[in-house]
Amino acid sequence: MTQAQSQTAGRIPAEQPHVYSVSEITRDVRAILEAAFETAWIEGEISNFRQAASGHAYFVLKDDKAQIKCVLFRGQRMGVKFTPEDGDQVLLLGRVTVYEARGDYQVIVEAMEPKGLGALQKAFEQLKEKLAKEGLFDESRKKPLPEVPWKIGIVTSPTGAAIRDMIHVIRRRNPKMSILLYPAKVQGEGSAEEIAQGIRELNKRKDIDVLIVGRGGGSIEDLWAFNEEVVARAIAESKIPVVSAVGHEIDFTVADFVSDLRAPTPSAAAELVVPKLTDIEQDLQYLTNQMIERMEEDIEDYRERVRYLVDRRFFREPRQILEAPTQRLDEMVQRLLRGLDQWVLVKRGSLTQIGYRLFQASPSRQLKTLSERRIDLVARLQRRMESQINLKKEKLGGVAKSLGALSPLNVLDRGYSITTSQKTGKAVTSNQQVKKGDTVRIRLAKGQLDATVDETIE
Amino acid sequence: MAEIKFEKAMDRLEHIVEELEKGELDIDKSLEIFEEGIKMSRVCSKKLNEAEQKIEKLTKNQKGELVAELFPTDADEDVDDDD
Repeated sequence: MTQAQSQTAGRIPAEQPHVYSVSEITRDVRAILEAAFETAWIEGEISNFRQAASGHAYFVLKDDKAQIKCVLFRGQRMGVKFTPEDGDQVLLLGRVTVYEARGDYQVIVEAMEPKGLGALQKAFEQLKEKLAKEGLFDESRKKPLPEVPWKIGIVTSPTGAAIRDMIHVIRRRNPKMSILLYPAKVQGEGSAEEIAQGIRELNKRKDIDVLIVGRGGGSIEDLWAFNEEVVARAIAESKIPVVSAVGHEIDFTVADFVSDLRAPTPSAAAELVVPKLTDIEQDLQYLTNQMIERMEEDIEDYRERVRYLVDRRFFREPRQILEAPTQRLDEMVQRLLRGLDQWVLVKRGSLTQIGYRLFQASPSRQLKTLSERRIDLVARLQRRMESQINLKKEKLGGVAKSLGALSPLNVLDRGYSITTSQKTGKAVTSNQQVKKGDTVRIRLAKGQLDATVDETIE
Repeated sequence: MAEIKFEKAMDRLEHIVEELEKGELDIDKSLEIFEEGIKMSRVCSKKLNEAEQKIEKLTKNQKGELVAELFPTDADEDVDDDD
């Protein structure tokens, strides 16, 4: 006690007192503070948080009774997995020191995490919210996976279980699927950058159809690379569809949200991405068969149509054309035949007349004699002709007979007579045909009379 | 002519089958797309037949360029064991 007390108490210093410069005393205070609180865990609420262009961040940590200035330098800022905000309850590890230029005492933050919610959890929520606001999780951004990929790019550790599982599944489903692995560290320092780099490198190639980015299960810290913004950005920028496959089913990472498809595990990713070769082959076979069947049906239809057309247009119609004259010919033949019949009838008619005249001209006895003579003659000449001639004779006889039945001479038998004018020789059917004094011949059934007209009576 | 992608060929084939099923095309067009379909089918089977699995990983060579080299897998060893 002390120099200061004695100095003040005495007012006038007995001996020359030590006079500090501001710098000196500040330096001493700083040394004392730094020695006393080399590191300290401090809990409080953040306020007045501000991020400087330099990358350093400044804020005030307070509770209900006091407050203390805090500095978060850029180097340490990187280690803080979340973005501190005013009102955050945090637990920080820091060194108490003095900012000599201002004489402010302050805490240099070495590490900080949110109280309650874990630091990583908070960081995850924050990045997720940020990227969601940018629209990176929008459904409209999601690219469809190729139905039939030929080469898969995988970004993961070459030594992990994930790659082994995926190769196993891919082999089983499609033994022709090629894989290009980009070996990347999937946890620890620099892993996020390596993963992002892998996604970009594989995007430079032309032969990759789809990407799987992931790793096997682990703690939230192990999976952390997949919650880093650099990975999320690389996935978002990928032209090739990306399937995320991080950890187990229960693990969700930011990479899952930004990728085109989230697979619950690496094995599941392989299942989702790789169609079964047998399915592809079946599809191809089915489509090809379907097409051939369709075409065959089509061709059969056309063949049917052609057959139909050929039937009608090229064959049936000419046939019809041919048929028409044939028909005409038939018709003409018919007509000719009919005409012939007619002619025969006419001839038969004249034959009848001839028969009649013959009958009139020659007595039946003479006819009979003639017939008999002819019969005899024919019989002598050729016996075979007999019946025919008989037939003809019978016919002729028949005709003559029927004609005889119609003969007016038969009427005479019944008492009628025929009067013919001597002058004209025609039968008199009207009193107008004769005059008084005309001579007429009256034919009776037997014989005839010549008579003179005495009078014509009406 | 650029190589037709398998998927494109399959899509085209599917489309052709649909077209033929609709039956709205004339015979010339039908035959034309049928021929194309056969071509697509051949392209696909050829691709399927020719495809061979390659499992590679990218590594940096001495110049720092990335080159693909064979990535040995357990399955390769299994095959050896089996033989």
